[in-house]
Amino acid sequence: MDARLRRVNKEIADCKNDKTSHISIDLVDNSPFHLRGSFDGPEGTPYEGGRFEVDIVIPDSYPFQPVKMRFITRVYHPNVSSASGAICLDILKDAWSPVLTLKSTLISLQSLLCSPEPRDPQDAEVAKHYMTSKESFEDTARYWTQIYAGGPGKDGKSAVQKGGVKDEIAMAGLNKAHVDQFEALGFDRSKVIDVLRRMNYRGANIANINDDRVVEELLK
Amino acid sequence: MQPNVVSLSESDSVQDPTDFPPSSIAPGLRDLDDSLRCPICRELYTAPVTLSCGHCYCSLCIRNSLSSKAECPICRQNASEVHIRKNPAMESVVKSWASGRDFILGLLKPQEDHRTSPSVDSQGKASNTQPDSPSKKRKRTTDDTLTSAAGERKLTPGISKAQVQCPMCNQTVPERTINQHLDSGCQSYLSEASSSGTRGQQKEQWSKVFGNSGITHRNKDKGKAKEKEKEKDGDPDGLSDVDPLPKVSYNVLKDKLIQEYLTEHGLPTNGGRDACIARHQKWVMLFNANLDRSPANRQSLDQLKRELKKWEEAQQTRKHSVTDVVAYQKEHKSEFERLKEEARRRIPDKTSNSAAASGIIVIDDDE
Ligand SMILES: [Zn+2]
Ligand SMILES: [Zn+2]
Ligand SMILES: [Zn+2]
Repeated sequence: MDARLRRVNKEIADCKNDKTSHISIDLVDNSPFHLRGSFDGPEGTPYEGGRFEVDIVIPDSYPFQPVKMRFITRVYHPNVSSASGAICLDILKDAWSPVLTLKSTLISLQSLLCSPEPRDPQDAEVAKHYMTSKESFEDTARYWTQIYAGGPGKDGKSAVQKGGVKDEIAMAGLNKAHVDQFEALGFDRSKVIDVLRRMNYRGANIANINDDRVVEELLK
Repeated sequence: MQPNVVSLSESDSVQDPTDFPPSSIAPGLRDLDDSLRCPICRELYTAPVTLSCGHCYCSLCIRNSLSSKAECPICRQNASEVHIRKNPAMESVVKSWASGRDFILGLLKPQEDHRTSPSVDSQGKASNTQPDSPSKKRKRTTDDTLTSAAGERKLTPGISKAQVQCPMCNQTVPERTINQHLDSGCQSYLSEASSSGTRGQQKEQWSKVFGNSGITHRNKDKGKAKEKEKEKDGDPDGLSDVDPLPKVSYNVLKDKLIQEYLTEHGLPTNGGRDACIARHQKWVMLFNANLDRSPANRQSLDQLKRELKKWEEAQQTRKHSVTDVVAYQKEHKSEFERLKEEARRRIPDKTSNSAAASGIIVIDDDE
């Protein structure tokens, strides 16, 4: 039997047997080579209280080539694409080693959430946000955790009730007053949010952005 | 990566260190089992070798790994094939452990079921006298013990010689008939082969390799005078004093020479340049890894060729058309289901019935 299959099978069993790490691996479509992993957001981070799901594809040449992983749960993090869930992490690329496992890789993702590397970003906009204002970044990341990962939110309240509306301004990590200011000029609200987010209209960076430039962007 | 017959049947089931109780119950055993496993394939070492840093792997596993990255997978120190050293001491430890493993597990079972199951209450008293707690027992039935101890995992040379696992269909086949079995195409592959012209040819090419069980290629090698002696020694392949095959820089070689390299070892030359290179590369790997076993544990050249064939077919199945992929997945799905089922039987089962029904022996422990 396939050595790859044997190893993957052991790895799944290993996760099932390990009750302390709270890492789980489940089958997708019953194929042993397409899996779904999940882990808890690390304590003391904006991701605390959330549960994060990861899409896992085992390549043909596994474990000699790295496993493919991508966040299914949307994550606000400099090294994770906020749109696609693609992850920038060395061990998923050049630094892979065949002694790494699904579990150890998922644990590495968990610790990536603890220690973002904004200098090697996957999502440039999020990385800019992180570098401009860590506090504002963390608010946004916490909000995303609440909305997408079942996190408790800033005040410890549970996620937005069913049917409740997401706060698009909080999602984009922006200040309501700033959005209102440009909306008042007659621009569409979602357009304003989009432009201010792209321009990183936050904290100390606002001083570097001329309002005319914002309007210019809004007119495009 | 566990090409020999013994290992194949051994790893039929999901074996891992957690088969043993934690060190609080059986000190050292789980760690021992863990440290006798290759960190790459997680099986007990096959042909263990060490790199200059001292880290140990199966020969084939590390050769595979080095071919994609020239470093030790654990400490990332630079490494290449020239750093590979046999580790016969580890090999014999693993062999002994493999043969004693089930026996030790059998000895542990009653005790383990007793100790780990019915939970200990806050006063530290075992509560296993209560009949309503068997749900927490590990479902390790005496039936299981018997099957695994007396079943296919036997390492007795007599048995492993008479019965081999077919490298293609994984069924157990008498060794004498393995060639015929393979040549007949093991049912599951029959339809695929006839549906595809290239696969059919491939099959033919390979059956030439096995059809005369290597005699053809041995005759071709008449030049080597030692062949005759070897046959007398019960070492027909003459592997006992053979040097490893050198690495080849294929890109400077003409197709014809690559084909000659293959012919030299009695391997098929079909499939074009890339296929020939891949085949030869894999052959060198298998051949050299085999030499890292102690002579008594080595596989015959025919076994290695079957391993190569199996690998090549797996490659093809992966690359080929949608139907092939579906067939492949289907096949592996059922294998996987079986493994899951087996794993389920081995891990604590919350739905298991009473101890008596599952054949667990409970010994009262009055502390
Ligand atoms: Zn190995
Ligand atoms: Zn090392
Ligand atoms: Zn067969």
